[in-house]
Amino acid sequence: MKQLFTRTTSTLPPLRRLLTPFVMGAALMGATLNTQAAEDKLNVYVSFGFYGNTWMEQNRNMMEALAASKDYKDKINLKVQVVGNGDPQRQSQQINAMTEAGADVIVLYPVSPTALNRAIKNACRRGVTVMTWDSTVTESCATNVHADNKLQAEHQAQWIADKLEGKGNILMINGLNGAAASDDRVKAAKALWSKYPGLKVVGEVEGKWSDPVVREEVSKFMAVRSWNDIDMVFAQLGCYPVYALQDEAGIADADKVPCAGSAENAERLALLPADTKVDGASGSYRPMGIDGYTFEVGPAMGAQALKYGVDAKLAGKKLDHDIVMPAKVVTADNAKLCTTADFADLSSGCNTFSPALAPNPETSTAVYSEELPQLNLNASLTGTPEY
Amino acid sequence: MNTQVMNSPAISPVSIDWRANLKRNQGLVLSVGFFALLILVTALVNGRAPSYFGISMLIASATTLALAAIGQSVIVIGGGLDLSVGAIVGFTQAMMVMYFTDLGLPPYLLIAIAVGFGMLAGAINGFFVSVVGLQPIIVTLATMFTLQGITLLILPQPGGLVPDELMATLLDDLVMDVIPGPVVVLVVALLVWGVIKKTSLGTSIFAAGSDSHSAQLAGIKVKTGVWASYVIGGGFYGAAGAFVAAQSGAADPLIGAPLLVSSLTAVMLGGTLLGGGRGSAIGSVFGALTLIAMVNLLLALGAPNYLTAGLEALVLLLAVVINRQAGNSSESEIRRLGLSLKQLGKSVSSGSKGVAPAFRLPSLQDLIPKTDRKFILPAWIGMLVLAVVAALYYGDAFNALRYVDRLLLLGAFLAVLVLGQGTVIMSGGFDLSIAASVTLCGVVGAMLMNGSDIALLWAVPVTLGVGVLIGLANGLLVAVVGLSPIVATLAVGGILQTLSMFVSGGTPSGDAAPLLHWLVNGKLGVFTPLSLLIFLFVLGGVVLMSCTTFARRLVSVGINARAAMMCGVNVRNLTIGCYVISGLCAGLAGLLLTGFLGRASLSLGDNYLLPTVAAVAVGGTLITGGRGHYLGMFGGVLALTALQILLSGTPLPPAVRDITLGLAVMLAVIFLRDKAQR
Repeated sequence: MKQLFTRTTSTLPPLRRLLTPFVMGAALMGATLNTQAAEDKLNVYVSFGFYGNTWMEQNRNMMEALAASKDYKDKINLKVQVVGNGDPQRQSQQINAMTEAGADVIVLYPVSPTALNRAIKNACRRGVTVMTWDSTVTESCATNVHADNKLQAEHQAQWIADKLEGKGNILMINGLNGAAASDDRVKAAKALWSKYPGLKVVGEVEGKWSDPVVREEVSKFMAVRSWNDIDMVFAQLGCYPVYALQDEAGIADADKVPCAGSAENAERLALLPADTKVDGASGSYRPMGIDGYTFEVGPAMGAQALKYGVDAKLAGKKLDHDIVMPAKVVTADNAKLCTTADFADLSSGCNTFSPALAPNPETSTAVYSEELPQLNLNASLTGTPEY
Repeated sequence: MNTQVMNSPAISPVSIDWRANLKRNQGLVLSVGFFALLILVTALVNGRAPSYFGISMLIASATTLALAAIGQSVIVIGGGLDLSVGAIVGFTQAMMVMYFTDLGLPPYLLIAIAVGFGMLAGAINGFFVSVVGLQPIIVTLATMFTLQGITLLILPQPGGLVPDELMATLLDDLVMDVIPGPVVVLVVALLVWGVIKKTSLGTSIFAAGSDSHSAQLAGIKVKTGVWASYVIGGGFYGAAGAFVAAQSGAADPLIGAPLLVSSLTAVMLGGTLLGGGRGSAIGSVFGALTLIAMVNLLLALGAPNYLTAGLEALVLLLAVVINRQAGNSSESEIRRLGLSLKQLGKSVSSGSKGVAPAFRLPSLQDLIPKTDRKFILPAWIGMLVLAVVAALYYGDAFNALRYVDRLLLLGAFLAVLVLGQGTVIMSGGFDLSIAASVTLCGVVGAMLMNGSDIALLWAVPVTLGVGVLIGLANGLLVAVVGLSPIVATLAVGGILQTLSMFVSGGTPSGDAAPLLHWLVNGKLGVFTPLSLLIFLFVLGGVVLMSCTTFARRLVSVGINARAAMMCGVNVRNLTIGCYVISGLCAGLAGLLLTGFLGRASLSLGDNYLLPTVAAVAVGGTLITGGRGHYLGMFGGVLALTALQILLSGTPLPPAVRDITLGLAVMLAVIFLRDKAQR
């Protein structure tokens, strides 16, 4: 008898405990209609799958600046959340919780293209407009605002092939192994180079889209190589550490191996003629006159996704699954120093900032969009709009 | 109440049973209570009761983690620890989605296939732990790298397609709007473990975790129990893999990475104490639910984003501290993980006074005792072999001086950290907070020096002071509060992550001082200054860990804390001291890395935690404590760095590099296994 009793206590209560909350929840469901529908401002939630680098910080600042601008401050109520640990399970739950809290628009930096699909689908079913930027999701009801990574990488690879005239050694600095954005670019570049028998990839390192990691991994690679063995670097991110490492190896600017990569201000500055007068230039954060290549992806993209989502919601429109943004390319030919880096200045075609304006060399230069007159460099650094 | 129990002879057996049961299941009760409280608070903050949609989505989001946590708790109950949890989940979903989903198999067979691959991976872990007799941490670290590599080979980026039937089976409501599918999945998983628990196999798993020696004498098959715990745990990971694939509709090679820390946290929140012998899978499920439900609370509170990691850490600490009062730490826990040193510190270490001088000039025999040589040499031989291979492979491009300089420089950061991790490991502990400590110290250091050499005068001492404080916090939590080192340092790491975000405001500011930058990147002839200075550090490390009273006490504590206490060693203070050394080393490494990069970053230390463990093990240190020599560890650091350099220059795909690294670590520890021990 006693035996029987202990057995039931050890198996039944857990079951009951598991069941109670949602039996209770089901009973209460009728009483939990959306109470926030009456509010006239849109509830906009942003979920950052990753956080903690300059690019993400700039994205966040630009979104907050847009929400605080005259055009949007009476229209939207912006709440930003970060997912701990880059965890898809937590981000799924964040989307669920945002949906439940009465979100009208959710803007995501997704940690996985697939793992969030179910949560996104549920949000869409409840009338939430779901946007992502830069990274994409496969769920068709969401709208991805992103660059075409394959096309971008092909253009970058073609530029290298042309510069090297079809012959030379290339070091590849990849993104994160296992991420589609990284893998797509690597495959596209290699496919393009396969047409040039003289081009050779002599090394591939995993830079994880982070300058510190690039610096360490390239250092490891260079322990058994000489810079003389490399003719060009193809980077998803990380030309700044490539130039800094060459500085430390005592290589003069004129002899530096050029790098094609994304648009951190330091690598943009390196494209300017070495004798350009620039406020606050020091160390490797200075003009070098390098014949390199930079492409721009975000941080204006986050604010753009936010704008598209909010505008569509207000207009009652449905957006396409993909909104492909061009990845603007700047080379030594069209690199131009800004004076104030406000919207008018940026509109006139300047694209490079002095260290006095952007003290952090990792600052992304892609802060301009003609659709976002509210924003400028300062908005991306401080979160205050131009107006 | 108590007196009534004492005085009343008529107390019914049932009620005694009830009380004993409650006490035994305190961890479980607490974890359920915690979850309920969290839901209640969230509901109060939101001003609305949770909906069916809300609860069912919460459970669906938590199910992958919960299944992984059930697996992890089975392994922890068996006395082990599994670092490969995320890698196995990723591996099983990749195998299932890439090779089996398009065969038109019925959903249950697909799930069985994923579970099968999980059990296979678990069996490999279990084989090396139980039959070969290697330490779980090292075995699972090696399988983690290897499986991650294999997963990337078969699935280079997210893809594949999961059939709708599998999704329906695992996710659709069993009873529409009453019972969500994931609840059924979890209940079935718990029932499976509930049944296994009652069998003799279950008994041997519990026995293996509690007092394996006595259990063996009592005729219980302990080795089988250990092996089985990994196989069963792997099966649950496989289920998690199938579930996450169904939830995603595809496979993602990176899906498992966050599961390691989360699953350990869920297990500990669920009241399963590290050390083995006790624990509950149901608790782990509620631990997982709690972790995921915290997302809701943070959103409801509109909490600043940087709080997430710190808040989770605080909840973990709170749960474990409350929990700890119920359980008395067993001798096996002390032996295995250096737990509950509270009583051990009470004796004043009078016995050791005057017995040996605190320090005397070392002879070569002191520096490298004969008994240690066979554990020190292999790492150095490995390093030399790798260097020769590199020289042959790269031929003319190979420049010996440059190679040596880079090897020493890139190894230097790890060498500094390994002194700390090695000391802690020798005392029988473990420091998981290293990565977060390095980052915080780097962030603080960069802010203080802000590009000025003169500022180094205060930036260096303050940064090292921060490191010491971190170490002190770890040490106090372990030695005075009596937490398991893994729990304490995991929680401290979470809090430090939040602090780094808070201090830096999201982007660390300040450049490295020119002097510091020169030290790490400049040139003295052909060599970088740090490549030369590291020898001074190594000499200091060898003296500290071989020729001091501290070193002798460290070894004695690592071998048997209780016996050391009897001999008059103040175990408590010594343990605190080890963590302080580790904190100090993290502070120094944080400064050096800031110099190397020119500025601090929030991921400064991220890539250093697992390599410290690998280098310590490859250097011949016993992960359970009591044996180790800093020269061996330094050799381990150089061998590991040499391997990374060699792999980085080869045309091997990145996935194969991971596999090679994992196999190399495994081979090294198999080779270094001390056959005389256990």
